Amino acid sequence: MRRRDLFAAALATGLAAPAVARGEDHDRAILRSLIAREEGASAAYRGLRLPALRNPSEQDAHHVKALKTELQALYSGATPISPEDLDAAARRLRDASTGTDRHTAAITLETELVDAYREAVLGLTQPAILQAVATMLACHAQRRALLTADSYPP
Amino acid sequence: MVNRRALVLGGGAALLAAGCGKDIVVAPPPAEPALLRSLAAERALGTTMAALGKPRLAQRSRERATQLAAALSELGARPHDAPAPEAQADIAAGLGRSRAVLEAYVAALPSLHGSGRELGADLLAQAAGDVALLASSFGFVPDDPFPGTPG
Repeated sequence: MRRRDLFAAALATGLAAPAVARGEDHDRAILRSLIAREEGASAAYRGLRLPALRNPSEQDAHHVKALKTELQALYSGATPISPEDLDAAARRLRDASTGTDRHTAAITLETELVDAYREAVLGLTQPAILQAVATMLACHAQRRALLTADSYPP
Repeated sequence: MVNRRALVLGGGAALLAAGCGKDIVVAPPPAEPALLRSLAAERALGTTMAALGKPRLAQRSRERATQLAAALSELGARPHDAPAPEAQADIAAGLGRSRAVLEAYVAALPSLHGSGRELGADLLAQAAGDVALLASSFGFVPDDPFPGTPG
């Protein structure tokens, strides 16, 4: 390899590095936001029975764990949220007092989660993280469909 | 003034530093084969939904296939290269083809950018909802937290 080639390769690496770092910063921010939403959803569903869904609180706990693993792979972490930090949709579900209210609140929460995951999928840069997050988008899209099944008869 | 030796030394240091970070970077697959796989999986699911007596779900699957075919044509690929498998009227096949279509959409996403990524995300979300409805109509409530995880 000639000196000029070596220099060109080093220069290319140096130019690419900031872009990669920016992408990782962006991915970290997205992951932290999703972790907070999932922690809120897991807390809100805890102990609730919704006929259309099976173990949503446990599923969301799995999501939190997976998202934290991805975040650790980017050399970062997330502080768990407190009950006061629950987002409005999760709080509404947690505080719902009737079955109808719970059902309506769950649809709102799942719709917001699908939207949040869709935005995440559009913004993520790391392929492995993108694919992991896409499976969680699919999970919440399934729940939304099951909760609103009456709207689309097969 | 920086001489050549200093530049080369600096470059070498940069290369070494780059080598100390993430060690595996897998290039995403090209978009065309990934979308062709999604199209083949969607066609297979659609024929099975129709055979299982779910015309509304089958129609929505066909609509997704049409969108995929249009995206492939825009890329200069040939949608007809995606096979159209025969219908299988049993729920086991339906569940298998459901898994396959979600896996194909998830696998395709890293190769898609901009409006292609938006299309991929929307098709994944819609297909996920429809396969959940298909499964639940046969008494299977989906409980996988990560549907579509590439096998």
